[in-house]
Parts: sequence; structure tokens; C-alpha cells
Amino acid sequence: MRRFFLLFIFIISLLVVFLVIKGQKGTPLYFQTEKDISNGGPFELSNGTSRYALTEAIVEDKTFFLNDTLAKFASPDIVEYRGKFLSIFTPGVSFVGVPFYLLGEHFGMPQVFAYFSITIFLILNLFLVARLAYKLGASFYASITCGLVFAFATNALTYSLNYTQHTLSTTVIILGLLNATGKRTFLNNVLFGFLAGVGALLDVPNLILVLPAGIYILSKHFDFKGFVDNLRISVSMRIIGLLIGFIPLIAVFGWYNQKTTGSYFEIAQIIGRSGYFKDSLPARNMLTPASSESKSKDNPVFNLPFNTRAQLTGFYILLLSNERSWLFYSPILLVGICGFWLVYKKIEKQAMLTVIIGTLALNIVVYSMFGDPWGGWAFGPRYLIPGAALMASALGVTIDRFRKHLIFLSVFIVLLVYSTVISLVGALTSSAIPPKIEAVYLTLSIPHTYVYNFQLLSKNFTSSLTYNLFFADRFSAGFYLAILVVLIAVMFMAAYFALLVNDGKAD
Amino acid sequence: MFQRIKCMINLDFTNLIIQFSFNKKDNLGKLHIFTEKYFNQVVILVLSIISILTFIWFYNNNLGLAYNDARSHLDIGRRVVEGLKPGLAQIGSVWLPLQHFLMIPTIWNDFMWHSGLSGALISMISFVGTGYLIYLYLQKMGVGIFGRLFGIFVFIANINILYLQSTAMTELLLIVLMMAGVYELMLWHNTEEIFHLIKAAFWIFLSSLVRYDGWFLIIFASVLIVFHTSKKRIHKMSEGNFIFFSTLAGLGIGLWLLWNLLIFKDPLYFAFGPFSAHTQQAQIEQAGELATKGNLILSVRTYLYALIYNSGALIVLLGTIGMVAFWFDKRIKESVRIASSALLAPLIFNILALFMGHSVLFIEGITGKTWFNARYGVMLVPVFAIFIGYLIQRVKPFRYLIIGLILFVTFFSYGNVDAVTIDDAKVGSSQKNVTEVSGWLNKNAKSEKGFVLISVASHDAIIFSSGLPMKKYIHEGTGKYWDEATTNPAHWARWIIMRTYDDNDLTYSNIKNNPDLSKYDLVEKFPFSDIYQLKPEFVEGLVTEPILGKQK
Repeated sequence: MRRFFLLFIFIISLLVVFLVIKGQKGTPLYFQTEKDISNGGPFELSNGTSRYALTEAIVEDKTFFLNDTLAKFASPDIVEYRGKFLSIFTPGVSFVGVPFYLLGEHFGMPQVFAYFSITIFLILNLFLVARLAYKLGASFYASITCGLVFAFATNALTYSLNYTQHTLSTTVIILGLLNATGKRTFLNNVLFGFLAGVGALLDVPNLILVLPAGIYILSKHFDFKGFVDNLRISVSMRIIGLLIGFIPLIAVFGWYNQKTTGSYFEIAQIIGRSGYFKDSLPARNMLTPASSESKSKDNPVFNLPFNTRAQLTGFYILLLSNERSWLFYSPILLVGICGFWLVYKKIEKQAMLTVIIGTLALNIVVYSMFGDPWGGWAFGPRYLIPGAALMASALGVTIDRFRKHLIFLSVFIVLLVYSTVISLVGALTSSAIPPKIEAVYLTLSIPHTYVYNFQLLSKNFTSSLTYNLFFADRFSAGFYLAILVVLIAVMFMAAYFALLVNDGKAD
Repeated sequence: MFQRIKCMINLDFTNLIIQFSFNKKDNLGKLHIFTEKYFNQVVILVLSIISILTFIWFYNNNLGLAYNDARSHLDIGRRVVEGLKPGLAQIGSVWLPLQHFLMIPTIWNDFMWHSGLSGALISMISFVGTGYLIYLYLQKMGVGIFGRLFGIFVFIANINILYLQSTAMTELLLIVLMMAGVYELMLWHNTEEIFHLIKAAFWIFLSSLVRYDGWFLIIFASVLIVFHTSKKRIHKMSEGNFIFFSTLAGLGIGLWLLWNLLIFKDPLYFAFGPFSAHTQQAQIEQAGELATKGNLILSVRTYLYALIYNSGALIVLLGTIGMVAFWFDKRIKESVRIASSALLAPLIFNILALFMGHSVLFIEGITGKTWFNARYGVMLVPVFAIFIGYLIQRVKPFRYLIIGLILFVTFFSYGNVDAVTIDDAKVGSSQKNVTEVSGWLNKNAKSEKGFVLISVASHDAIIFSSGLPMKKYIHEGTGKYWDEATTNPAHWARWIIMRTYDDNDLTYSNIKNNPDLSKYDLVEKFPFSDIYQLKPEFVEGLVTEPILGKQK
């Protein structure tokens, strides 16, 4: 029964994803050779195009450097170094996309296939979130609901359609957490080290986000007995597995850096963006100024990327503002707070909960100190997508607890529908919404919230490849949205009824 | 010391085992026992070492005297012991007097004056005292040693606190006195021993002689005392406690009014006199920059920004969570919880002061284009330290998580030198770069005979930075010298420092129509003031010695 249910969820989820992947009609499909960075297309975000350009450079030119065409396409997220252009980002996403790109070339659809390398991880994340929720004590069907919430009621869906790091980072972080809460075998340690290394290749801050799990794992290898005057410290040698898993990936990272910047330790981001091609950029790709918070920079001890003075604005933008916060984009996630409280009461789950909340808190704290908590022109809090997965995982125990509570169900359904519609409208239109501080200066007025996405949809504009290929002449984009809502609702309802039938049993 | 430590390392296939032990009779053992026995003293010692090292660090970076007000505080203290008219009357009325009184034993020494140590020493002792009070407060709340020490850490890891404790500013003195007052008030609520009420009144009395925040605390504490005793439904007791406390605690206010009456012939001179904050605020209001006056939301917002910039957003967040948890903690006596609300008195006071237009605070980008008095937000740092210490005791499973997050953020605040008080002192309106004027004086007037005519109300920072002795200056606090010099400048002053055409500058407003002014050359013009020097042909008739003797 459960296998059938999982298969059902997998198929419908895959169907939903197929219905929203970005693209446009062409011969055979647009965007496969055309480097069109127009709004609503797969190349609308420069943080995606820069990574895609690297994938293309690896496959087509057999190099990590971008030729002039690709550099212009990837601008402004490029670095000019010793007369050559590099992608400013770490290469993990681009590496993952290479085999998919090669496969896509056979069908004349390299872009669709390369992008699908990210999208497919959304489906994996759905089940990973469910697994995490299950480990937190939720029943099987409530856990699946958690996964569905993450995949279809947050901006994770939107960003799985772009060639960015968020989806893969989330995979790594959840796998890391699941690994950390598992038995400490040598193999598990190697795997965790491997995941941390992959995380670094995908995006450097991932190394910070896996810290809580890493520290927890390290603590498991130490055994203290006695007190100061007679202390016995026992260290399990399995700890070496962490290094064995980590070193090869870091070696790959170092090798990539050496090939691009000439140094094993210097990453392109440290060199900084070049101003090439900036005159030809659309407004959304202009370099945004850092936050307005000024601070004394006369004698910084180090040149650090995180600014504590910016934290107030960061917290506001990420947690409360209508520009980016969960409160406005995915309020369903906030129900997870109740879930954390319920799990906290279970003493046997407290260690795991600490690691999860630690990762979540670190996710928020790190990006609250980031100069640009908006994430440039973006849809929702893109930096908090890993955090959204963790919040979603805590929903399960709440659903189990209140599954027959009418008021809870009413609130939950309202929040779920709202969040799902917002998520879908983002996925169907554009991921590029300006921050308010930039929106007010635009000559062509663009709302700084998801209202912009609804405006696009009301003009029958959608980025959906399937819609543009097959349904554009038959019905409106709004109706298409409704169909998607129904499809997703079917999955949620199935999970809920299965939950009721099984009466919330954890096993 | 380590020769008798036994250390065993054993490596098998799966485990590395390190085992060490030491004899309680050897040196390390003795140190361990000593630390356990004298824990409180060790805490104070560590706080003192941190305080001294931090002072040295800021002193070496030339930041200790960056605040214009710090230099003025030091000059006020110095004028009491040195100058043309030394004496207690030099305490003046611009600021409440305790900080300047406390400087008197050390400010006579030139190094103590010019290094700022005379004033910083008070801040440093206050820093150590506040750290220890945090420890004691948490102890009384039933928080374990770990939480108590971490509470202290939150306080001492704050760069703004470390900076202010290295300066001659009044914040740390105010904080320690208010904290001590609230601590004793809390103990009185807990035990109802009258001795605690007396001590609370004493500390709050002292705080009322540092800043007006202390005056508000008297009111706040009085209300709490009335509330606490009235619950027992003994009217006489309630009345008695109130009168007893408010008489003792309010003594400072009475003395201050008396001082103003005796020296300036007006008990409210400090409030409405020409150098009062009220007059300063009126000028700012005229310039249309007192935006918080009458605007409660902006007042709250402005102070909260100052608070968060001083304490750190994460600290405020966690401290607030701790505060809420404390408030609803049924295991702690209700009266103790209510008494602890006095910790929030500075928050309420500062918001009210902004709203009523009695205070001015500029936060860059919120109110004003620069920083001014942003340091006011530092007042609640020890409060958040207490509640975070309490929080990690309360949510033990998350203890290391909270500590880790705070350490993580603290690392970046240090790495980026994120200290709003340093910005406030260096680039905000509180700074005054007078090095050009003071440098000129040091170069041209130090070894020459003759007095400098200057207004301390406008140019105290110049006096301080010039390195010249106080008795070289004729200012509005020098009695007859000032009267004579403003009547016959060319007879008394070889140099005049003033802001030409600015009637707020007392020197200019007094001599602007004086024909003697034509006997001076304008030798330099700087952003904060101009320098006039007596023409050589008039130097002969100049008074260069303090011939009027000691002035009353």
C-alpha cells in the first residue's frame, strides 16, 4: 500500500514538475541555442546563466573559462582574471549538469535536460523531507505531507526550475542531517565527509550550514569519563572516515580553483565581479548595492562577507517583510514552529531536534548578515530554501496531533492553499522580483512582491514550456494554474485520507 | 607545574584513549582547589584583566578620546583642581556631577588627564562591577555556573561595552549603579529585608547623580515598592516604605537642585539654562531635526534601532525570548519577576525622553543623516546578558546551540569591527576633529606667555587636545578673568579662539562689538573655530600672569 502510495506521489509530482518547467516554442524549442535572458525565461537569473555558461563551456569548449559570448550571457556574475572570464560561482551545479547537458544534446534540448538535473532533485528532496519528518516522529502519511508542502507550497518549486544551487544544497543538507542522526559507522562518516565536500562545491556557505550536523557527529566520537583531576578521553578512530570522504571533494575544488584562478585556495568569488558588459544588462541584473547599513570599515580585522550591522534588516527581510519572507510567501511553514515545540517535549528526539533547529537557525542567521538578504531579484526567500525544508519537516507531528481538530484543519488548509498558489504562480511566471529599494527607482514600475507574478499571469504570460507548447491556444494561464492546484490538492487529500485511515500511526 | 600530570595515550584499532590525571597536592591541583574556593574573586580578576587590556588596546588605537564628550568630562574634572579658578564650582550644571567628582582624586595628574584614564578608570571599575552583578543576579535567579558565566560573556563580548569602558564617558557608571540598584531592589522583593531597600536606594541615589535615567529609575522603583507592599493591604507599611525609599533615593535630586540654586541662583538652571540639553534640543528642533518629538512610533523605532545596533540583533532576539520565558516562569517568585521589570527602566525612559523632545538620538538612515548619541542604546546590554544566561539554563537541550550561534555572530562582529559607538564617536555628530586648532595652539602658544580666551561651552575639546595647562585658558568659568578679558581682550588675551559670527559662542557674543578686536590678526580659520592672535605691537601691555589670584 505504502509503495503504491509513494509511486502515486512520485508520478503526480513528476507530472506537476513537467507542467511547470520553463521553456518556449521554437525550432524545435527556444532557449536551446538562443542566449535570450528575457524575463520569465530559463535564463532570467544571472546566477543561473553563469552556472549554465560554465556547463556549456565544459561540454562545448572543454574548458572552465567562458568565451566572450558566454561571458556576456553570464554577466554580471563573471570574474575577469588574467584576461579570461570565469563564472563567479563554485562549480558544483555546473558539474552536475554536464551529463544531463550531454544527454540533452542528443535530443537537441541541452538546456531542458541540464535544467532538469536540478528539477529532479526537487522530487528527491520531497522524499528526503518526508524521511526527516518521519525521523522526527511523524506518521508515514503526515511525513509525505511535509514533503509535499516543501516541494509545492514553497519557493523551492520555483528555484528547482532555475539553474541555481538551492535545490542541490537542500539535498546535501538534509542528507547530512539524516546521516548525522544515523548510526556512526565508518561508512556513514565517509558519506558525511563526502556530502560536506559536495556542499562546498555547490556553494561555500553550505560548509557553514552542515556545521551543526558535523559538530554533532564529532561529539559522538568523543567519550569523556571522570572529571578534571582524572579525565579519560576516548576518541573513536572512525572519525577518520569524515576526512576520507571530505578530502577528495575538496581536492576537486582546489584543482578547479587552481585551473581557474591559479591558486588552490583562491575562489572566484573572492576576486569579485568584473564590470564587463554592464551597459547591456537589464535592470534585474544590475549589481545591487549592499544594504544601507554603514559601519566602520577603517580597520576591519578581516575582510569578512557577513556584516552583523546588517542583521536587523536581514532578519526583517527574511522573516517579516512582504518582499521575501515566509510570512508572505509560505505561511504554511510557520505551523512547523508548533511541530518543533511538540518534538521538544519528546526527550529522545531532543538531540536530533537541536541539530535541525541549529541548522535552521544558522541558515537564517548567516543570510541575515549577508549584505543582500533579498538575493537580488528573486522570488521569496531563496536563501532560506534549506530552512524551508526543515520547517516543513516539523509539520508532520503537528498534523498527526491535530489531524481531527477542525480549527487547526481550517487554518492549515487556508495557509496551504495560499502558499501553494503563491508557489505555483512563481513557478509559472518569473523568479525575478525586485527588492523594494530597487523597485521604486525603476522607470517601468514593477511591484516588489508576488503581485508582479499575478500581473504577468493575468496577461496570460507564463514561462511553462508545456503550456506554451500545447495549451496556450486552448485555455488561459490562469486556468492552467487552477489545473495544477487541483493536481497538487489531489496528492494532499490522498495523504490526508490515508492518514485518517491509518489513524496517524507512526509505523 | 605539569611535571606530575600523568598522561596516558593508548591507541588500539578503533579507539584513541587519552587519559590524564594529577595529584591534588601538586601545583595544578592547588590551582584547581584555589579556583573553586575563590571563584568570585577569580571572576572579578578575569574581568579586570579584560578591562585593562581593552583600555590599552583602544588607547593605542587613539580611540579612547574620540568622543567629544569624553574630552569635556575630563576637562570638567581637571578644572576642579587646576586652572585660573579651580574649585568644586567648576563642576557646573551641564552634566550631573558624580563622574566628575569621582575623577578628582586622579585628574590632577597630567597623564591621567590626557590619556583619559582618570575617567576611563571609573568606567573600567563599573565594567567589572556590572559583570559581577550579572553573575550575582543570575545566581539569585537560580541559574547554574555555566549560565552565569555565559551571561558575563555576552556582556564582555560586546564591542560597544568594551569601547565605552575604555573611555571617560558616563554610560558604564550609570549602568553599574542602576544595575546595583535593581539588584538590591530584587533582593528586597525576595526577602523584604530593609537593608536591601536601603542599599537599593543608595545605588539609585548615586545613579541619579550620573544621568537623568537614574531619576526615572527612582520613580519606577518607587511604583514597584508601592505595588509590592500594597498587595499586603497594609496601607501604613506601603506609605512608609515609599517615603523611606524615595527620600533616600531622591536625595541626589534634592542636592542637585540645591547646587544649582547656590551656584547659578536658579534650582532649574541645569534644565533650562543656556547650556542645558533643553536649549540644545530647542536649537535642533528649530533646525527641524528633532523628528522624534511628539512621534511615539518614531521614538520607539529610533531607540530600538539604537538598542539593536548596540547589543546585536541576535542578542536582542535571544534576550527577549529569555525575558519572556523568565516572565512566565512560575518557579520564580512573582515579586522577583515584577522587581526585575525595573531592568527595563532605561528602555522606557529613553523612549519617553525622545517622544517628549528631552533627548536627541540620530540613527543614520532612520533619524538624521549621521549618528548622534547612538550609544544610548547600550543601556540594555547587561539586561540581555542576564536573560540569555537565564535562557540557556531554561532550555538546556539548546544550550550549546545558543552559545554556538552567539559565538558565530560575535566572531563576525569582531572581524568587521562592528561597533556603532565607535562610528558614533568617530564619524557622527558626537565627534569633533579639532586637531588643527589644538595643534596650532600646541605649536604656537605652549612656549609663549599669555592667556587664551575661549569658551569651554563651545571648545572644551580644543582645550583638552591642545596639551596646554588649564591655567593657560580664560573661559566663562574663570570669574573675574573672564569679565576682564571680555571687556579688555587686548589687555588679557594673547589669543582668542572663537567661531566668528556665531552668537552661540560666548566669546564671540561678548566681544563681537569690542574695538579691541581690531588689535588681533585672524591667523587661521578652521571648520570649528578661528584663531586670533594679538598683533605684536600690543603684546607689551599684555597681562601674562594670573595676577587676580584665587577666585571665589
